[in-house]
Amino acid sequence: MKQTAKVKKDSKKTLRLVKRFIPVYLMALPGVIYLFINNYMPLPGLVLAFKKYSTKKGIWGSPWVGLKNFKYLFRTQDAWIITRNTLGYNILFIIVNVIMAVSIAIILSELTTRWKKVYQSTILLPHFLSTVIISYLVFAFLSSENGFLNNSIFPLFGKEPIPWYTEPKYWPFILVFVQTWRGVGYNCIVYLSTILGFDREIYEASAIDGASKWQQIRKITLPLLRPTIIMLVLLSVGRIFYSDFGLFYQVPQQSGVLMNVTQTIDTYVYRGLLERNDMPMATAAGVYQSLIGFILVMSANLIVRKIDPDSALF
Amino acid sequence: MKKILALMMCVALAAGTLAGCGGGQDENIGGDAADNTKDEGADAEAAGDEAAAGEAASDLITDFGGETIVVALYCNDDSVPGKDRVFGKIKEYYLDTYNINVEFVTSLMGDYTQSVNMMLSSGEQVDIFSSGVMNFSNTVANESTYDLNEGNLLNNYGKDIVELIDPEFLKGCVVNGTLYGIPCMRDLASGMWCVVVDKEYMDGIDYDYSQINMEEVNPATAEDMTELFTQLHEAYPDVNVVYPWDYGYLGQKLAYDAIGGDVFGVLLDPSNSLEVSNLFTSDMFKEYCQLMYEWQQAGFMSKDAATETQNGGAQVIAGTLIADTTAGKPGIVRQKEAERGGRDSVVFQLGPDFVASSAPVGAAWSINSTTEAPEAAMTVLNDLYTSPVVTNLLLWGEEGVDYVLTESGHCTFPEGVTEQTVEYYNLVWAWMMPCEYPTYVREGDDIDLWEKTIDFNNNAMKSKALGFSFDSSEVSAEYTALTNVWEEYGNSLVFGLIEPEAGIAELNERLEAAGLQAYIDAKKEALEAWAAANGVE
Repeated sequence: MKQTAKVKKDSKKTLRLVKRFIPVYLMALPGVIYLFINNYMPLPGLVLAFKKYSTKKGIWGSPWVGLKNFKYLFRTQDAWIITRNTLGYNILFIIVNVIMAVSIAIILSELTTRWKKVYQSTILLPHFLSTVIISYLVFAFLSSENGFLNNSIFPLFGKEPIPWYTEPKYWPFILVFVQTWRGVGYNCIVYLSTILGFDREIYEASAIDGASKWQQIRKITLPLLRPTIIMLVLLSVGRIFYSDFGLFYQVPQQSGVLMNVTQTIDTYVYRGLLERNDMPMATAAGVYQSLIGFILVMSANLIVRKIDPDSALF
Repeated sequence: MKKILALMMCVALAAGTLAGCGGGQDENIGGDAADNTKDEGADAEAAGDEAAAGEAASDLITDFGGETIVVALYCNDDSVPGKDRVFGKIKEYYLDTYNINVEFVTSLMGDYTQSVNMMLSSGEQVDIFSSGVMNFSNTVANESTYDLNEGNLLNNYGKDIVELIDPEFLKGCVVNGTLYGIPCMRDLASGMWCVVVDKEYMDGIDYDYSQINMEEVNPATAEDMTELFTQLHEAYPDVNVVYPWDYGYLGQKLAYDAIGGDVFGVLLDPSNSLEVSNLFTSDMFKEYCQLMYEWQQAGFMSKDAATETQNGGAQVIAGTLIADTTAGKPGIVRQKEAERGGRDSVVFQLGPDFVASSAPVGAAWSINSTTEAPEAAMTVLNDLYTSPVVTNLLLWGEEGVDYVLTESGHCTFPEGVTEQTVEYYNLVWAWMMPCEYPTYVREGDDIDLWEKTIDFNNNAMKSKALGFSFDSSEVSAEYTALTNVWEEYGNSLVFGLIEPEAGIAELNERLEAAGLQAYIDAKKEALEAWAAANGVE
């Protein structure tokens, strides 16, 4: 008797909860539909990676070929360079981006000048530029014949011009710089809005107790910001095996000499398959990337959950 | 809150997977069913055709009952205002003549491969498309192309094409004994290693024009060019003298035959021998890179050449360049002058006229393997190649509205209309059409331009491997790796940016590591099999 009563009460409670959250579900609906159409409906197409494609027979009727389409990703000594570049750059990007974005967000949040909005918009602006335009901005600085650096800046210091597009050693720095310049404004928005959401009373109380600005940042802002940082880092870890195609393809102006330091898995696949339109091979690369991304995000989350269960994504 | 979120994600995931599976199965069944009916349809039609072929030719279908045929065109400018009007006229012609409803879909050259691929894989109707532009061997490997001899299709419904095209070129579209496309009829040969110099700068150094033919190409040697460039460079030190285009255009300069459509394993003496060799260890390649290196060292070429994105013509118009390179053909001088905003130019040719084995498939046209009405498609294709009505509508638009004919038979703009104001112009260039021969010649060109082009094709040195095509899918891993290595070194070498001796050695080392030998061996085997089957020695 008691048992049934409890069940009844429970189901009632669930029902009430569902009712209460109906507006929330409704609000989420467009997003869920989008996610479903865009991310889940194409999933069956992954079988293409294991097939020899024939448009006559269609995706489902094409014969299976096993793992043959994956072979080209690992066939060469380049495989190591591609993987190193893809992972290395993305790890660098994540670290530099977090440090820069959090610093800028904190600085912006502490500013009281009325120029604050102007600063914020200026930092955000590069995010909205197309990569092709960015590649030409970079070119305008680095070009051997007409570049700003070689023609206007270096002569002032009596420095010899540097042929940027044929010198691989500078590119890890250039790429990280460009990526950060472009992405930092956008990344800091989330941090900034989180900081602005913190209870000001904590800061006031600490100020009364004699805490300096630096102490406030270290002891209040950063600890409160930690869950947000972890979440954003976890999200970027999930995409660590994807590279920003535009950045690696357009910005080095496709200069062959630089390929050792600019070739990533996406540009490799693009360059290799451009002429062939081989859909199964392209799909194979996608499957491989998602698989690695999936494993990485799961294990990163596992580690976070071990250390700090509250900050884990799931 | 987190729990609810997690739950929602689980539900979404589960639902997605289920729905995904369900959808997949449905599609599977649907796809199979459609395939079956299509196969049966094709069989029935084939049977019908065989019967028809046995009987008198008059039994062939002449009225197609309003069948819709979709043609995918690649064009230069698909936002031409008069497009729908002109396509309407072409449709009218086909409806009146064969009762076929012809629809055109257009996309720009650069988007063509992608959009047609999308149409092919999504099952959207497209009956005729250019498989050559999309990489012929891959399109064939994907089974996207229709067997044009099935049920004697070409002979029955493409009679004029059979008459028009030299069987030797037609052979170029045969893969494993099956004809999968019709070569695009234009300049199939190309004049190797042509240098186009802006005349204004040559005037500036008082060049002696007594030996020069301003209308056609002038034979010359690399030494002549170096001498000319040295003078030009002295007179105009601030202008780049020559832009030889990127490594993708190497085949326009050196008369090797990139059999199978790629440079990994080529015929170095294509008119005499079927020996597959490594281009990158050849003297031909070494000498070329050496020359480019010398030109770069002498300051003839831009140091930024490898990252240049403007084509040669645009650079000449911008005043930063004197000469670029091209592939020669009849009428090339006027074409290059048009590219350069009408600036007078002088063209030199350093190599022979040559038909590479891949020329016939270069822009070949095919019928979709899943077409429901191959006869109608072939009929449409036949007139796209040979009907003066269809070809001139497509190239020039409506007579009297978009163009008029001069007394000499040339094509020009009507009174009061210019290149800028005309409603239909430049949707396609002549060479983008399946066949340019039935079209009117533009004012300023020789009236017998197309006859000259035909002669040019016929008289050029031809590769012995003409008709060979290579399916690289078995060695695709090597291919991808090799392409990436070549891209890494290509521009540095052809723009003379690295010392050739060391650069070439390094390139070869990397290519070897990427599996060049395995790739060449596969090609060699395929070529030998092809030669045995076709009786070529």
